[in-house]
Amino acid sequence: MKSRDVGIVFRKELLDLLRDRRSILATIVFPIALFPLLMFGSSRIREVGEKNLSLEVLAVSVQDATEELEARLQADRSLAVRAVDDPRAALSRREIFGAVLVSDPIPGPGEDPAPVTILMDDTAERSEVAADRLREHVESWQAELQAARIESIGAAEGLVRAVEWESVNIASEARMAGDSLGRFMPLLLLFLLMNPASVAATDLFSGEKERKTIETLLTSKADRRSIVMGKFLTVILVAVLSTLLFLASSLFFSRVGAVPDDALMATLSLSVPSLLVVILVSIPLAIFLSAILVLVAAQAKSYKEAQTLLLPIMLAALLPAAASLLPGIRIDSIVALVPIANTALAMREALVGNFPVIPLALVVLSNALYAGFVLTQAVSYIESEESILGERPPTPGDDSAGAAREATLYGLGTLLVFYYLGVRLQAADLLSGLLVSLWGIILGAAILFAVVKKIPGRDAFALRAPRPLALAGAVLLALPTLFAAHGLFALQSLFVPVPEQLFEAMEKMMDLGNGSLPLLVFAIAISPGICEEAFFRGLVLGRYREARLPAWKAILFSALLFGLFHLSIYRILPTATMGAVAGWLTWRTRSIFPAMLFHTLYNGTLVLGDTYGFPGESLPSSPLWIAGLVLAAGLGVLAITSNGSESRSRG
Amino acid sequence: MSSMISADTLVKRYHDPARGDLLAVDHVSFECREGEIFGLLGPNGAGKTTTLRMLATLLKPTSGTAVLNGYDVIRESEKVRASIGYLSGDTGLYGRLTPLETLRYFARLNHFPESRLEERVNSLVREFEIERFADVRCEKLSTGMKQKVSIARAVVHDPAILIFDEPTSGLDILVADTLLTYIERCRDLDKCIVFSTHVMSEAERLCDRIAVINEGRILAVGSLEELRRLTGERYLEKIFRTLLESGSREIA
Repeated sequence: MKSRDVGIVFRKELLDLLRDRRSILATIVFPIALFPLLMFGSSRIREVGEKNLSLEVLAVSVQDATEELEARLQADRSLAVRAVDDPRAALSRREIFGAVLVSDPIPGPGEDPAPVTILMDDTAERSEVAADRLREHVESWQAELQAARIESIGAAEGLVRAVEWESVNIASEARMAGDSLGRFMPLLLLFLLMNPASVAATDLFSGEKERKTIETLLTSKADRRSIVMGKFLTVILVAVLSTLLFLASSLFFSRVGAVPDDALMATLSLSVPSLLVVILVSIPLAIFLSAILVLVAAQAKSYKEAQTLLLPIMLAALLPAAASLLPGIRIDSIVALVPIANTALAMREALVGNFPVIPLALVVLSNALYAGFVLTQAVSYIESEESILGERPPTPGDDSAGAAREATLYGLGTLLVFYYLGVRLQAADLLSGLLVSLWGIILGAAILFAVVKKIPGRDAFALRAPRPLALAGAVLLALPTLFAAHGLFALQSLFVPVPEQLFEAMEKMMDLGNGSLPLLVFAIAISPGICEEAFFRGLVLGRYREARLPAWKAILFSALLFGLFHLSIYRILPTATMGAVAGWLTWRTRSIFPAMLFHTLYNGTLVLGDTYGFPGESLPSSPLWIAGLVLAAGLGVLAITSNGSESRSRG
Repeated sequence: MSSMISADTLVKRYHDPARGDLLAVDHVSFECREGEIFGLLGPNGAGKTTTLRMLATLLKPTSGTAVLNGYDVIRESEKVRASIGYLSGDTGLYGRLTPLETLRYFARLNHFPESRLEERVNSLVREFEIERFADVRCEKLSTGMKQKVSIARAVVHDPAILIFDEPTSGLDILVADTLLTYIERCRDLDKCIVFSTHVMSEAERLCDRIAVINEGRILAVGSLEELRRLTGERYLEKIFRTLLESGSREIA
């Protein structure tokens, strides 16, 4: 790659794009105009809403009020006074929109004034209106009381104050923030970043094919990498520029007072440091998303095809961001690693003036890593021949790659069924739910696939008699793997603290048998050993092998899928480790039975350990233990590998 | 002077799920010298474009190689690209750039010396009578104007070798004639030219030597006279048909 060529392509593409009206609109006009438009729009909506509200009769309640105050409220035709038991609960259920709490009786002159509390819910606009009305009544009542006292005793104002009112907002802070525009800022930013980038990616990559200029470009002296990088820089610049323009415009318009609503603005901390952090986290994301968009756009032969491909990608990219903005989700070390969602959350924190240093650093770092990865993928794809000429000459192995994809998709589909059906069944009744999930959903899905695809059971599930040595190897590997997985889990929880609920859920599993050990062993050790192995190591791994995936990929992917089925981010690492060993066993021996035995022993050890205090729960500490485990692992590997080569030479 | 292009048993194989392995180019070898126009003549799908794309380093040969201007297409692809101008019939232009900007862009991409760049661009603008619309965006130009810009663009870096892939397809007769005349002039300037077509009259008019290609294989190579002698036919159409039917071998 030559920086000079990159520069030549970059300058040309920039000039070219700047002459495109769509790009200008998406990159410059739209981001600048969006903020004031939004503000204007939301304030208009508010005004209209408030106008309607001012005509509405609102339900309120008074507690322990003097007759005088109650009479005032009853007289107000815009209020409907109701008796409720618990005003706070009624308020949050929106049965009433305000409440006045008065301490009874009103103290005499010279004593401390009585506290009066006006309850309201800031997240309900009706409540704001109701609270305003209540406030007016309380204030005029207070003034009247005071005036009467001054008249009768002539005391100073402080001494005659009969009541002191305060307004209490019952909405939680999260709910407050939930209503503010701040919630949508990260989404807007993501959209503004992707919108012009997708226009540019389409024009620079798919457009080159549609205009039939790609051959000419690629027959110039400049190497492909330089050309791709020059184009890439343009797309990234456009994405970053649009983000910067939006932020600058937001800052400008909020400073000049174009934001009509102070309350709205209060939750949005558009300070310079906030914006700098937002920019810092956006740039690696801009590169990451640009790379994805470019990778996709490069596969399209025309603008139209590119748009069809890019729209779902953009929506899919907005989803994790949207989900991450739900109340209660905060950025921590795990979420900081989830692409897109991490940036949305980091922006959200920064916009309300929080700067958690470690998560923010993780966000930038992980995004930079993802960006680098996708970027190299995109560059190497575009360098490849099929991307150039618009057509994609099928290469050997293409159809078999399809078989691997099919198996993965089928696995993910089964995961969905498992998630929606199995989890519900287990919630209803753990034991029967678990057994139905294993024997019905997982094994059922595996058999269904084999039947529909007409794959003989022997091939679908690697139902071949293993050599005795392979079974011995499986036995030897169970305990070392268990401890390795536990060790990884312990190591992981140093960085990612595991929530209590997970342990509780595991404990519940162990109480399954209602005291019957054989039942427990059957449910937790034997059933998973048979059903899960048939699915993950038999079917999925088998399809991968059929697709001629390299061993490491096949084992890794099937193990990850297996990890996903445990539906807990904390358990993916240990379960995938176990799955990888089982996968390796099956790959080497070409038989499912060693893996089934291994899995049953692995889970069985957990069950027995829980029942009899076998040291399956804690890490081995004595050197003898560790030496024993290493020895067992070594012998196990030896037993499998010697067996594996034999069976390969036979098969 | 030795040959400027030397294609040595070029093979390009694709895999097609329906038809199995497909030999788009099947052991193609030929030479082309300075001041020579070498024609690849064959029906659609014969492998002409794939061959030319391998010469232009757009595609990598499955096996075999080619040497252009002394550089190997596989190992020295960058130097090969600097030596060639490539133009195919359906080549497009960047709609939002003007002809002048287009020419400058490609001159720079081909590392044409900056000091002589304007002079070179201006002389091409005069030569192809682009002056009138040199500052108009390409999207506003007529087909004929665009084609002139395309040709100028292909030769802006003054390459020693020109590769034309059915350059007249889709052009009206007059514009096609301008192009063919220009190609003849390039021969007079001692350029080495490879030219693919399925139009017999173009091959007859231009080519010093013709390779008849079908289903990826060269059936015969020679001057028009040699091909006439080989087949006993006078017209190229007949020569072509005879060769296709007999599947005869190379003679040159």
